[in-house]
Amino acid sequence: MRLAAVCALLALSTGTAHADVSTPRRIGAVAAAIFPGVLLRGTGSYLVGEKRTAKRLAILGYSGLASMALGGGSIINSGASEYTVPAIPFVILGMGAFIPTWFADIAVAAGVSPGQGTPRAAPPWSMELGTVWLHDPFRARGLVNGELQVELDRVGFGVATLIDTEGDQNTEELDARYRLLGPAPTAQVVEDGSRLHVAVAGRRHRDAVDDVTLLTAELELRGRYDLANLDGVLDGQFIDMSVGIGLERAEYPRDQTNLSSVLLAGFGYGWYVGRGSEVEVVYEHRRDSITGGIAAGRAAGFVGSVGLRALARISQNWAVRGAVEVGNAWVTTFGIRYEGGPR
Amino acid sequence: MKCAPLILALAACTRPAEDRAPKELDVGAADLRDATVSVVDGLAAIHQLGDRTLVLRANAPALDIDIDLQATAAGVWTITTKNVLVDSVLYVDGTPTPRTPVEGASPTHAVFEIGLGEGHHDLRLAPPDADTLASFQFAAMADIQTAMPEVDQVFRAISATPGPRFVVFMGDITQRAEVEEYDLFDRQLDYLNLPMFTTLGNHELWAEPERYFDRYGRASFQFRFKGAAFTFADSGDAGLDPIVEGWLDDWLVGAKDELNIFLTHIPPLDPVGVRYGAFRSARDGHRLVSRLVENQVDLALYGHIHTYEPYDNGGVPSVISGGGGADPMKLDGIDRHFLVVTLDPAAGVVSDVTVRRVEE
Repeated sequence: MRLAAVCALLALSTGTAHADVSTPRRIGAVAAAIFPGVLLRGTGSYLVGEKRTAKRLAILGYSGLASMALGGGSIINSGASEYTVPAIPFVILGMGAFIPTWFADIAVAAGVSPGQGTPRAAPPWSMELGTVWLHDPFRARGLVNGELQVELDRVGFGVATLIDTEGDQNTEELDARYRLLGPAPTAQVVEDGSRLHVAVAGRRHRDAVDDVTLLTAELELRGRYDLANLDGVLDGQFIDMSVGIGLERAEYPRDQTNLSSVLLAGFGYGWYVGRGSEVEVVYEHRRDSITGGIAAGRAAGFVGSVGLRALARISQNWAVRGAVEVGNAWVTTFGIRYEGGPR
Repeated sequence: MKCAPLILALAACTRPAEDRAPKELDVGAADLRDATVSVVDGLAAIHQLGDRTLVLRANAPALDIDIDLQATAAGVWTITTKNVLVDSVLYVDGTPTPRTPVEGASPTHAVFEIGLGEGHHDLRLAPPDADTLASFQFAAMADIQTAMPEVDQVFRAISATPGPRFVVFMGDITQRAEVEEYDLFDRQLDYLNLPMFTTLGNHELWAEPERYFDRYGRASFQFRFKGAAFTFADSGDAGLDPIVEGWLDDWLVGAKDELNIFLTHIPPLDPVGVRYGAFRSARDGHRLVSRLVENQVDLALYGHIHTYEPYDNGGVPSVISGGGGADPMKLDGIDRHFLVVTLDPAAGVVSDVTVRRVEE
């Protein structure tokens, strides 16, 4: 009953890209896109007549599933041997293809119109000030975050800080990135928001209550793929993926330290909204963030965090950003951003 | 994928053990209309309290038991204690009481028939040397799960090893926490001639936790033996609940100047960091390691990862030993195994940690 209501709501509340599809058929397509579409990728698209889209979503989705199976199979078969750990990113990135194509198929079945939103290139520079509410089993903290991003054509730099208003924790972060692919930082609306960056970052995190200081160095590949490149019907939707590795030094009481590695991997599925705004659901596999991993019952310890992020442009130069992430903690972020530089 | 809704639902809960931890406080206490029994610190599960009958399963080498009786409950009591050291003696109000011979009984089961009058009685069940500061050995293992039908081979190997006084178990007895699995485990324990003191693992949480608590006792507890403190913590949800951490803070601080052994199922940090076979929050993992460092823990023992891996964690000697037989890790050359640990509390050192492989 609830599924039917959701399907009807989805079908009735979205655009009319394919007005020749009747509402009952669209409701049925949304329902089929949810199930069995969760396994039979492209079901929803097929039922509303978008057979080419269905085929392409199936190819991308099942490529992801194959990556998950190969990676996951080798890990499980070896009993999580350290020699098969390099297969973990294949599992996460495979999920990054398999799950978003499910969402995209539901969107097509619901009749989301092409071109509802357009991407925008990064601005030459931006500043953000915001608040973060952290609630985890041990901590309820109000934090202030600030960041500055500067783009010099292909090279970008960022500096960010996250400070506890009561002084219990503070984080400072520096990062530099090189744009391998994607639009130049003009802040202009662009046809294709796809991009690929390689980034290095360094972070210092101090938690006074825990008496732990963490120093992290990271190398990461971050990419976005506009699904319009897969099929025009998917215009306005995108997939984000990232993968990388980090080295972490922990400092404890009694001058003790520990050196460890950190796997960076995640994915997201989002929509462009209007001219440069966007909303995205994300999965982050890393556990060293303040969010940590979900207490997922039998799967606890193996699952990272999920989140919903949104960037809303309120004028040419101003935007607001919000995010809710759920893992070991609830982390809620609200920030206001100024984007500057010549346009 | 069918787990996705469950995972999202559970995401709303950041303290999955919030209700579980307080239930531990019920362990080791029982009463009748005219009799009250309380095992100090909940170090035993009371399986039965009836008409002048008490059956309990120890989860520590030494138990202190308070019994309060009204006149109607006075008389000759039969006290059956499971999972005790083979040389345990029952002291009733300070007076040693001989075991009642039971033909064919496991050496870890002891039966005592004692006369108890109206009023309060202090019982202590412990081997005579329990408080003597001297070197001793214990065995350690974890992660039986699907290997339950063959775990008797591991138990026989431990029993054939001279030296260990008891076994500590770092969780994941079962695969699915089913009653039949626990029943089989209890039968397999007949092949072990030492008591086994255990905490739970994530697989014990596939059913309601009372199923574990009622049989084996608390998952988070501390006992002392011959000058060494053993502190167990429930990390079955890949983290500690703040309630458990509160207990842990007190226990670890109290044992700071003793030989300090810490045991839990899931390692706070995976030595192969990118694998994430550890706490769900790395920051909470570091928080625990910081506590272990601060309180000078001498040895940390973990399970969960089905291999043998000794490593240094912030200066705390740590060992992962998940060799009970559950889906052994490949490419590590270890397979089924257990540890034999030698402690010298008088010198305040862990003298030796040896891994013993168990062949078919």
